[in-house]
Amino acid sequence: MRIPIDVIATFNTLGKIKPNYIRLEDEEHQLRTFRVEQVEYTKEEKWAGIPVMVFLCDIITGGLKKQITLFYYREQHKWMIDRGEKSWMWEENLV
Amino acid sequence: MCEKIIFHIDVNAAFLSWEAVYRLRVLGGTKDLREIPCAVAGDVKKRHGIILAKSTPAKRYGIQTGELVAEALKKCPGLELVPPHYDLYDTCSAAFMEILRRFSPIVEQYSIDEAYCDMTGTCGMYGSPAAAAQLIRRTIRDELGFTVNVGVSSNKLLAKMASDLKKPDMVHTLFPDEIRRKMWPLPVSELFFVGRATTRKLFSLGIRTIGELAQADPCLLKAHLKKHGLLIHQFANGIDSSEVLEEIPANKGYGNSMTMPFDAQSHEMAEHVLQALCETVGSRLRKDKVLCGVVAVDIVYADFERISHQMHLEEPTDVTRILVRAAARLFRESWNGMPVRHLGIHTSGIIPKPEEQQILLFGWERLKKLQDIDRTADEIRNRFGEDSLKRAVYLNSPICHMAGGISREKKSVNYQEVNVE
Repeated sequence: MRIPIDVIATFNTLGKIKPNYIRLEDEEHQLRTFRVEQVEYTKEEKWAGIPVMVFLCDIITGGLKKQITLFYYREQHKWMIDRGEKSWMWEENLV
Repeated sequence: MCEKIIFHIDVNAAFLSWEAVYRLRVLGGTKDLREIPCAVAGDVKKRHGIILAKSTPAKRYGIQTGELVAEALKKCPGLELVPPHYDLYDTCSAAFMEILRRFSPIVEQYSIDEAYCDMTGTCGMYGSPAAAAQLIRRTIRDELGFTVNVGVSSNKLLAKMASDLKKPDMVHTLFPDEIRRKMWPLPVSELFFVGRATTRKLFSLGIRTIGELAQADPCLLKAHLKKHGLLIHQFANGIDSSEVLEEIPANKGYGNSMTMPFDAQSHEMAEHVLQALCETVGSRLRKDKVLCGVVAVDIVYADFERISHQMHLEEPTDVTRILVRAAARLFRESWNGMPVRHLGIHTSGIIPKPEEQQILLFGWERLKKLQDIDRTADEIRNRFGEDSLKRAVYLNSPICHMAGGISREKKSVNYQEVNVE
């Protein structure tokens, strides 16, 4: 299942969308903000006729670079991630 | 000049497939409804509980489209049921048609999940008709996520018969030189335009397969089935000259009906429902700028007996109040007093609305007032939504003030309540 998240994104003069920050609640209902270091790739999907932009992003969490997939639902103007991705986002690196 | 090439494209188990793709790819679920015994069904509590679409695994249990949910559950107790989601189906259908329009200059939308494409003259672009068909099939599957069948031939009838051969996700050709091998062995009930009644009549004439129908004496068919008999004889021989038409022909009738969540047991309750149906029909007539000259009421009783009664109006009209009065009168004249489960209004004798107002000798002011009310109501509802203006009697009624068509609850699904895996 996908869950909605807060996102700050920039739209450039060519109409390109780039997510910059994402923010979501952790298990303790604390808001956690992550900066998007890099967008590896972007893709447009239209499953069931519903236009969604997919962004594969690098974020830094627990001292490690991790990849997370962001979905921008064009018609609803909502950003979402897979619920499964949420849990490992704040796994601390146990050294 | 290239020979005529017509495609018929049909989405496999549309409602079920579309919901499956939506849950899997858009909601990010993990379960594909197409891979388990599953069916789209209306709400049993609202007495709309019939199977609208089924998955391939469900077919193996003998589940049929159109049967009652209760019957289906007896055949397959583990059948997963999902509610209808018409807004989604509109979106999927539009995306499907848009892809077809990339390939063909003339696309005729036949239904929400079927279309004809005239591909004549495009042979140079794709190599062969079969290659073009495969490309269409794959494009729809890869971009939108659901599968279709494509029938390829030189006319609409054969293309449609072709797409109905083995499913899902396949391209079939059925050119005239192939009908003997591919179409004639099929049972006559599989032929387009041959329904239950015709099948029975043909059986009694000893005609069981399409091949037998094709080789039957046309005079015999005309004697028993008249013009219809000659038409299906032509179809059995693969002859059909109809064109693929981009534009939809004007409606010959406007009607709306509904099966109520409970039986109507009084004039008042039936007229309450008929009025709501007339609101919908009236607004549709006005939207298309037409008038109707004939009104009919259909009644289906609790024991499924049906009766229909119609009348000609004094003057063709689009005024809701006049339709309501006619419907009420028709109901009173034909109701036998038994509980009613389904009511329908049907209007015909459609003519375009004339520019100048028609002036009746008497009642002119009242007519003008009614027209003004209707026009104002339409404008308010267009701007602020259908529910922004309704007759007070519908405030606490289980009947929607504009009844008929697809009821609200079937347009979308509340995924908070439904468990999506």
